[in-house]
This record gives sequence, structure tokens and C-alpha cells, in this order.
Amino acid sequence: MKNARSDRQRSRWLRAVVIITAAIILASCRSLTTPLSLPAVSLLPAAMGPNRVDEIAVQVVGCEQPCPPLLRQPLHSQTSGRPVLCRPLLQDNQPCRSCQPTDGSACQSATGMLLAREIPVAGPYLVCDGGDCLALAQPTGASGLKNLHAGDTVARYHADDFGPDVHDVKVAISNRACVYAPRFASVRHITRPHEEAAPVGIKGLSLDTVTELGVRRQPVWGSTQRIAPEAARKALPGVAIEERLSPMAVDQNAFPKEASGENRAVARVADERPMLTKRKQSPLLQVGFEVPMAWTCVRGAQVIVMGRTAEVIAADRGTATLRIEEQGRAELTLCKQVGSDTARIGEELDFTIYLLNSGDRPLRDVVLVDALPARLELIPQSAAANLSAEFSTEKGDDGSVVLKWRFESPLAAGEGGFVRFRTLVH
Amino acid sequence: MLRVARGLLAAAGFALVTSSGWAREDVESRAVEKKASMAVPGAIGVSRRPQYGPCPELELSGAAQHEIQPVEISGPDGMEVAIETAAGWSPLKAAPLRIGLVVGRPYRLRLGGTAIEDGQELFPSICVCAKLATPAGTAWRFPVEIQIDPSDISEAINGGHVQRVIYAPHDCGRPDIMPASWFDASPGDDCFEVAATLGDPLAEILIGNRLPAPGVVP
Repeated sequence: MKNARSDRQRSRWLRAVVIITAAIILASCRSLTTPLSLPAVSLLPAAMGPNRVDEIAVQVVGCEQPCPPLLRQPLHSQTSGRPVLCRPLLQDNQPCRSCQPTDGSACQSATGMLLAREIPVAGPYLVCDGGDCLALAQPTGASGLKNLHAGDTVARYHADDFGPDVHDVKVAISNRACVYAPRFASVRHITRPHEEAAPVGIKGLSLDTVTELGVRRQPVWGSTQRIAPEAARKALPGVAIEERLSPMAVDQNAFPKEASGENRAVARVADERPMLTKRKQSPLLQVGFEVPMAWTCVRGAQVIVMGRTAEVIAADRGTATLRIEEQGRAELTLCKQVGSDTARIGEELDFTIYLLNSGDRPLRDVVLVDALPARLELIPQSAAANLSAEFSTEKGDDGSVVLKWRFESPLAAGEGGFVRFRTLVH
Repeated sequence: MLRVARGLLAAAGFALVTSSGWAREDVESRAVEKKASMAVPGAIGVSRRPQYGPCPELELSGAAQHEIQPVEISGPDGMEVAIETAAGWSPLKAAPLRIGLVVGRPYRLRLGGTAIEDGQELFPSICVCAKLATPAGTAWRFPVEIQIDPSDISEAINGGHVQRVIYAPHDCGRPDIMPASWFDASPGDDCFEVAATLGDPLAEILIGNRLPAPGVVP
């Protein structure tokens, strides 16, 4: 009887010890795992949040400086095939050079990622002058030209004899010369600390400090109230944070009504894009520097003109120009050249426009005009010509600066000349 | 009666031991809340974008040299710039600083000098988004020009977080509509979206950290 009671008591104590031990183990698990799991979750980028990514601590060895603390893209474990986030585990006074997981599996090296990825390329950004963009230039008056836009380089002329088309004014268009001249701009956004937006008004009326002082506009999007919950509670206890938006925050959720013509800045800018794209097309179609990018492999060509075969004078390589000329032509050829293929902002660019009477009749009243692109500014007193010409500047149809040479003497057949001027790149 | 007392004693012990875990969790949650509301000025940007570390070019082979884009970092008079690369922190030198960076890899910068009041320093991060298609042999003649405005520095010193996205405008033939060639995005607008509307985003610089990351003290 006594032994049975002592056995029962022993079993009760044993049960109590087991319960207490289990409780201690349970409590230790709760207290230890919580702080370890917090930084692991917070270190994950937002893009990886919904995905299940196993995190493996990575030992970094051999580099004098720490490697990136977190790679942007998840790597794949070679053992499990599942996505693995390689995070270097930095140790004191331990140099590191490469990332290696500590669990025996190998992460794909960052070098492989770098070599495999495609590098986005921007540009080229060209400033072009020459040709006749947008509406075609048309002669007007005795020596004028209309439909001149930035970048146009044209000349008007007519024959100087007694032919049937002696009163027909013709327009010659030059080639288009492009220069690589990028320029940079930037967009800035400032997130100011929430303390600036703390309410200072009377209870129940929240005021924005900066707005009240009228010093500068305080952005209210997103971060004004949510970042400082504790400070907000202290400032106005008992009132929900959502109910005390600042005066400027009233319309932060009111999106512009596009039906009534309200657009945000981005939308307004987007409306201008078709026009910009149209302007962008013309230079890009004529991208290229004077060095040819590729040669064709034509070994020979046979030209038959009026039933007669020309003799082959070269069979290696070269450039052949075939001109079919008519008798009694009144023709002016313009050729524009720029002094450099590249230019930085603030540098000078010099342009030369050659003109040649490529017909077999004399030309008179030759007027050459060049509407400068907006990024080019004429350097005063830099315009010159080897023929006697009257130089002047005027405004084009789009407000651009138009350089105008009016040649005083007629151009005989085969005669040519040139004009030069220097510009400053903006 | 004795059995009930023992049961109560065991339950009390269980509750006492397990409550230690709850208490720690509660303390930590309050600590997080306190940190969120009393963060040091400039800490807002820390959670916005990961501040990557240096030495990406160390992993490059010769074939990957095409991923390097020259940049030129300039600022107000008296500003000195240093950058952390595989070779460590470069010495502070007067701006402008011209250096080749790997496209897509962020770097840490260190701004100092007399342009920053009270001898303070800033530790921005910079990332090149795209490579310029320059004519052959002229890559270093046309670096991406990153201009740090004096107001950027003053905003960062006063606790603000400055994000500046540098872009190349689409319409290259026209001068910039802004005399200073930069502007502030409207509240609610994303800098990258605005820059992509006007041109090609080339680089991003984040200014706000007034202390270096732990373990990378220059």
C-alpha cells in the first residue's frame, strides 16, 4: 500500500518535471528565433517578398573589401535547384573576395551573371544640321525662302540665260551633317524628414509647419503621417492618425480627372512625345559618321547605257558614281561638312558649306540659307565666304537663327565656292 | 487539495517560463516602433533602396570591360569626392571626379570638403543604369555628367533624402527647357518615370546617409 502511494507520488513529480522542461524548451525557442528571423525578412528586397527564397549565409573570403551585402537577383542552388539568396557573412578582420555558401552547395558566381546580362545602351545623341526637315522650303519674293526650320540648309537659284525655264526659281538641298554631342539633365526628388510636417496648430486643426511659414512647399505624398505614428499619437492623443491629415494632404488621393482635361506633369509631358518622336526620327535615320561601318562584297558591275556597255576599268574595290546628265541643266549642288564628329557642351564647331554649279548653264541670284539648330549658337564675325556675298541673319519660321548669304555675282557652269562659320555647342 | 495545489503550481511555472518569450517579443516590437518614429534624420532612404557594397569590378574579366561606363561627378566649389572600389576607399579629391563604373552596380561615395558645412560628410550611393553609345574611342571624352547641386547637400545635411536621376533627353537637338538642366519632380511622381518620359535614364544618385555603413568606415 505504502509502496503504491510512493510510486504514484514519484510519477506525479516526474510528470511535473517533464512539463516544466517542455515549457522551458518552448520558451527558449520563442525567445531565440524571433530576433534571428527579423533581419532575415527585412533584408529581402521588395521584389522577392512574395516568393519563397531560402536564405543561406555565405562565407566571403579573399577580398579586401566587403562584397555586396545583398545581391539583387536570387541565385540558384546547384544541389537543390531552388532559388537561393547569397548573402555574404562578414567577419571581423577577414578579407573577402568571392561569395561561397557555407552549406556545401555552390552559388552561381556573380561573374557569370555579369557576363550573361545585357547592358542597356543609350544613344547616340546627335546634333544634326543640313537637309530640309518638316515642310519643304519654298522660294518667296525676290530672294526669300519660307518653311525654314531649325537644321535646314537650302539654296535658291535660277538660270542666268534665255532658256525656257529662266524664271523658274529652284531650290537645292544640302546633305545632313551630324555631330555626336550628348547633353544631360536630371530629375530630383527629396523626401524630407517627417518632423517638418508635425502639426503645430490648435488641437483638432493640424497645420503643416512649413506650409504655415510659407517657406517652401512640403510634399505630402505617402510619408507625412505614416512614418511618425508615435509622435502623432503624442501630439493628438485619442484621434486616429488617418483622421488628421494636414491641409495639403486633402487632395493627395484625388487623382486628376483626365476627362476634364486635368493631367499630371508626366501626362502633360507624354502628350508632347509624338512631336518629339517625329523630330527624333529624321536624324536617327541618317546616323553615321564618315567611316563606313561595313563594306559590300560586289566584285564587279556591268553598266549598260543606251545599249552600250561600259568598259571595266577597275575590278578590285572602290566607289563608282554614275551620273546621267542631260543637256541644258540648271543645277546647284550643296555639300555641308562639319569640322568634328564629336563635340562637348561649350566647345566650338565649324561648318563649311560647299556649293557647285553642277549644271551646264550659269546661275544667278543664288541665296544660301542655313537655319541653325537650337543647340548651336553662331559665333559673331565668324561667317566667311570665298565669293562675294552679302551676309545677314534673320529669324526662321520656328524662331531659329537663319544665316543667309546672297551671292552677288552669277555662278558659271562648273564654278563653285564655299562659306564657313563657327558655332558654340550648348 | 494537495493535488489541486500542485496542479496550480505547475501551471504557474509554465506561465512564468513561457511569458519570458512573450516579453522579449513585446520589447522588440516596441523597439521597432520606436525606431520607426525616432529614426535619425536621413534614415528614411535606408529602407527605400538597398545600399550595395563595392568591388563589383573585381569580378570582371577582360571581356566584361565593355560594361564600364565613365562618369564624372562634380559639385559646388570646395566639394571633395571619394569612392569605394575594389581597391578600397580612394582618397578625398576635389571634384570633379572622373571614374569608370560598372553598369548596374551601385557604389558608395564619400562627400566632404568645405562645400559641406561644419566639416560633416555624406555617403551617397550611385548606380549607372545604361551605357552611352559613344563613337569608338571617345567613351572617356563623354562621361555621364552627374552634377550635385549645393541644395542637394544642404537637404541631406538637414535630414532629407535626395534622389536624383540623370538622363539624356530624347530631343538632343534642342536645348534644355530648364536653365539649370534639372528640376524637381512633382509630389507623387517617380523620378525614373519622369526621366524615362523625357529621355533615357543613365544614372541615379541617392544622397542622405551621413554615416558610412557599418564595417566600411573609410
